[in-house]
Amino acid sequence: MRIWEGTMKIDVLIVGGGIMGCATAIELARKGKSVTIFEKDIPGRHASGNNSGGVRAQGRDLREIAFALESRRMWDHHRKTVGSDCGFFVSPRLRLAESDAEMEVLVKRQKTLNGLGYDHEVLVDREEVFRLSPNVAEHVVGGLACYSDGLANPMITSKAYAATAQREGVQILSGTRVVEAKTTASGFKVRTGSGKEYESEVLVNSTGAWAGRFSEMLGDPLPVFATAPTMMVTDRVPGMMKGTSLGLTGRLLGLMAYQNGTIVVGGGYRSPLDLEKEKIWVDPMEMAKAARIMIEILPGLKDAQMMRCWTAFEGSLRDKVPVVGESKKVPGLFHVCGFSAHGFQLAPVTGRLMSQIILGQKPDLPLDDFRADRFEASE
Amino acid sequence: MRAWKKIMKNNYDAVVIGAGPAGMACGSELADKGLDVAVLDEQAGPGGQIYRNITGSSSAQRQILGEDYREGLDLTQKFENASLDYLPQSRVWQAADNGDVCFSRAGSSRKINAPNLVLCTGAMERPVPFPGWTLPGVMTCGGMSNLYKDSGLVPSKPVLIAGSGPFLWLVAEHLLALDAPITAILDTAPMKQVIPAMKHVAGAVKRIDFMMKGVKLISDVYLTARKKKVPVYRNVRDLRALGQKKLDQVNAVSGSKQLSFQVETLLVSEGIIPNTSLFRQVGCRHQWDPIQRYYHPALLKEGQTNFSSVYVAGDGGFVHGAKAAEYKGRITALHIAKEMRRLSKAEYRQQVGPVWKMLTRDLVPRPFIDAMYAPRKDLFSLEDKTIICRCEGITAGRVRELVRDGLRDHNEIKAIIRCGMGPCQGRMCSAAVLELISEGSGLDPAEIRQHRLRPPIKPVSLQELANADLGGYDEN
Repeated sequence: MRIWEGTMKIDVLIVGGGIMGCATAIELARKGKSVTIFEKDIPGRHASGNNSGGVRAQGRDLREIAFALESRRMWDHHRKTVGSDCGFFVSPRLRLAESDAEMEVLVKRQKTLNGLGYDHEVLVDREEVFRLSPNVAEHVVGGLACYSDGLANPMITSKAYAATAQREGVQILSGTRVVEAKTTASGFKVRTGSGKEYESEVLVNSTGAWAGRFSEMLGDPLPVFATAPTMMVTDRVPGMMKGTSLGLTGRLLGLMAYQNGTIVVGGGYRSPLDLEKEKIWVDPMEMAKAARIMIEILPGLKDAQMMRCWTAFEGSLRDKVPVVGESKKVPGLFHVCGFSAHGFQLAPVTGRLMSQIILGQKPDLPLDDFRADRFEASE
Repeated sequence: MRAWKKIMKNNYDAVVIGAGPAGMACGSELADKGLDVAVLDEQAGPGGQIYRNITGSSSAQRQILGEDYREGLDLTQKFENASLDYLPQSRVWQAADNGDVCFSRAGSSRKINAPNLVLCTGAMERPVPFPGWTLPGVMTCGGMSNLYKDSGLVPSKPVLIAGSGPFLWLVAEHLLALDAPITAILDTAPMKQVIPAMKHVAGAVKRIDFMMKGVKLISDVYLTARKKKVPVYRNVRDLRALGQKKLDQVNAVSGSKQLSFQVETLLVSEGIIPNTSLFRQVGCRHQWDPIQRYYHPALLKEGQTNFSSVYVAGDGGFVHGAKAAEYKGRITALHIAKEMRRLSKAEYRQQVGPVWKMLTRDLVPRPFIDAMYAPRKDLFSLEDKTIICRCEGITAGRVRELVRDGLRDHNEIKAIIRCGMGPCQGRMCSAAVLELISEGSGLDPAEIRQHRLRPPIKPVSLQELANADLGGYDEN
């Protein structure tokens, strides 16, 4: 082995070692490409390794459903594809209606889904709600269930993806910050904090919360903004959820039923952050709001404890669906970002689709709804 | 000291957390300089651990607990006369560098804010896993000392005392004075440690009074122990607590001698370390002390952390004992008063000077004591089977496996096997995990990413949280 003095040439450079960057890298490496990932921290340090672990097809934006369903199939094969089950298990997701008006919303949703040929979300009556989740409050009138949804361990998943990428020959440079990225005559040049330079024909933007800044550096600014989804976990409350995860129709709350009896609470709570300083001030008073709703939905939880709350940097977009595709302004630059706090479940399928478009193949599923230039018309 | 009122303010000039020697001294001094101060205290009354229940104790109790304990009376009385809001039984579970402090009290939680936070969280006993340490009947010397300080409870059945360090001897002295039945005292400090400590002895003799006090304490315990026919074993190692559901036997080795005791209570202490939970949750920068083998916050001399709004005073910054903690608390308070323009620079210098002098004098013998009572080398030679995370029942062997797999970060290990995810938030296991990562990777602990604490640093009931006063700030 000789030491490179000058610039290193790689087929594909990926900036961001989260689950999307690693999933893309695995598929590309398996198809014979040389890939290097730059990760300023370690793989999975941010949203990929520290989310609530929901593997959920339920309640998705209509544009995402086909992806979520295909991705869900891939979650069953992780032992084969990434050498770990990623801590995945099935926990049906039940979205509760707290009033007749909310039940109407769910009825309408199911009609829309059926019209599009989807049957993964099923309307359930009060009796079935209490069979699935016997401890919910009396005022609940019905729900919409997705029996195939599940939960996984995000840190194990991120580690498994990174380890698989490395086994497939991907070079992951942890603790390596990209300080400059620019286009050249033949592609891209990337410079790291230590002054090393890398060149490639293809550059992948999987920078999560930092995607807005990174895309701007390359002349194709995306309106991705950083958010800090805030979650908490309770002590063990065995028997409380009976294995069913819960969501609501009219209020913010997601309750994930882990097998050890703990409940992970999410559902759209946010904390203030400073992206420059890379600092988040966990706002516990957001969790106080969640606690009030939790006790109303599952009165037995009043004696449970909040054990820990946490947040992670995530990249979000106004219309809450991601950007997956090649830049229209900068050919060779591929974005995979802006998953807006629900990308974890989509990782397996996204890696495959990304590798297909990077290799110039037709993607298995159409990506038109996720184009990078979709924001321009509205501005 | 103003008692907790139902309608409390949301904003103060300073919030002091903890009412041990540092917190009391700091709070009183700040109030004295006219600052609006709240002191949040987890305990039922002022005093912290060292002067625990000092206002509630009888003079007979104080007689037994000794001169050092009685010294807390003056400080406590001054604190009680100070014009500040004192909030006992307040569990602080989160603080931030923006000045927010969240705590629970009387069934509900609340957030207050101040531009100056002084964290006086004190010290805790060094958690050291050994075979059987999780059995009911094994407790820390500190736990025992709380029992006799709070309620005068003295064990009626025989207890065994094992460990090293000044605190162990202090508790032994108290228990002997209280006529508690003691089976034996097992001193685990290796004799070898006297040698590295000797190079500090020249400095230490400048405070011969202090040194003599330490020597006197230990020799008094020896003397009383002999009088009461309590055997003292030295150079003790391989401590093992045995029993099915609870402790019934303790085995150990002293020199070449196998020891075995039939006891239901074992008191252990392997020294005192700073309680850094809250600082780590706030995000304060820490540094590693290779002699005492613990992380302590990196502080400027007046107690400032890396955040201009957050100060640490007392043993939480570095363990120097009660008197030093009191001086540090006062120095931090005077500094804040100067920053808040309640003291001119000249006034500050004039007032802080004598306190500095007393602190410097108090710290003279410290290098000797720290070297003398450094944790012994084999303290963290853990057996694979020994549980290190009590909350989740994780063994040392399981952590070693992950370190062999290449993991170098307790935060990741936690996310994978839940080691440090239970109610104690890693307070009990983080030192052991750090030592295991160091042992398996060859890295110096200073190079290993420290275990981060997520809020709340102590569990909060959902009802307490739901009852939170979400109200805004004072209108001013």
